[in-house]
Order: sequence, then structure tokens, then C-alpha cells
Amino acid sequence: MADFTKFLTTAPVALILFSSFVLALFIEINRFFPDILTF
Amino acid sequence: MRTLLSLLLALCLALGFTQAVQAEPLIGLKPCSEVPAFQALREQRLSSLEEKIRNASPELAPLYQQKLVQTEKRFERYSKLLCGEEGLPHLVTDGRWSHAGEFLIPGLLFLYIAGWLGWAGRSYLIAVRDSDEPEMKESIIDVPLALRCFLTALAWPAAALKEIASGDIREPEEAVPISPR
Repeated sequence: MADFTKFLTTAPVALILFSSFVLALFIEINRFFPDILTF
Repeated sequence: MRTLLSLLLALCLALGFTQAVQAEPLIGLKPCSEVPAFQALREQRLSSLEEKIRNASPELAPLYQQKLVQTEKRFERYSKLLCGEEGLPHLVTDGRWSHAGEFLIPGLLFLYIAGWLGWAGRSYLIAVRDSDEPEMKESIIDVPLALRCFLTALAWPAAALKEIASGDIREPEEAVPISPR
């Protein structure tokens, strides 16, 4: 298990996990607040 | 100090002597709700969606209905913006408070988020610099430490001002490596 968590925290894997989270966040924001042009 | 004061003077003059010019009448911007082309665009979009709803199969009709509601909302919201003759909204980016939501606030938010990420990375690198294996901590991320850096970096404008004031943000000249020449 320790090896697996270490694998998850290697920079490329952590980058992919983090990016997936951020992209999903943007997709959800656009789902609930579509067509944002202004605040 | 001298350069700073002259810069300050130049800034005051530049900001003080410019006339407040309202650009909208010059380039023909009007509220979108008063621009015929915008209204025509709205009618065209809505009627084409209604047409689709009439011809759609029962499974697809609710989807088009949802799109119709969304389009109506979009046009309603954009009708408060300023439109050109061609009927499309233009964003006013000159920093006036009445149009702050169009550029000023998103722009500042962008700078804040960009600075946040940059400051978080910087403070992580500084934190691991003195650990026993700094290179290893760059390829295998110390996640708890990184999360802590992200959280503390939320206050980066204050932290940056503090470091600028104390001079910590600068490295001494002799600490910067240069390539042999």
C-alpha cells in the first residue's frame, strides 16, 4: 500500500490526478452556470 | 528613490490629465436590448429551436426544450450588456466600475489565481530546498506539504508585499549562479 501511495505521488501521476480534478471542476461549473460571459 | 519619484509623478500626470471619454457613442455601442440585430438574432435562435422541438422525436424533445430555456436565459442576460450594430455583445474593458464584471473582476481573479499557483509552487520549492533530498521531493511530491503550501499561498498578495518590504524576495547578487564565459 505504501508503494502504491508513493506511485500516486510521483510527479507525472500527481499531475494527471490534479489536472483531471481541475478539468472536471471546470466542466461542472459550465454545466451549472452555462454561457458565462460576465460576472 | 529619484526614479521612483519620477515614475510616480509620470503616473499621476498620466492618470490625472486624461479626459473621461465615454467610448460607447463613438463606436456605436448601445444596450443590447435596444439593438435590432441582437433582437433578430434572438428571434432566429429561438424560432429555430422551436422548430426543432416541433419536429423532434419524443425522446429528443425535452433536450431541445432544455436548450431553449438555456438560450432564452442567455439572451436575457446578454441583453444588459452593450452591443455593436452587428448585434453581438461587446465587453467594456476600461476599468470603469459600472462594467467591472465584464473585465476588471475576471482579470483580477485571473491574476490572483495565477499568483496563487506560482506562490504555492515557489513556497513548496523553498520548503523542500533544505530537506535531506530536495530533488527527490520534486519528482515524488510530498503531498501533505504541497497541500499546506497551496493553502498558505491563498494569502499570496500579503505574503509577497511582506517579502518585498523586507527584501527577502531578492537573492543576493553573488548567490545567483552564472554560466562560465
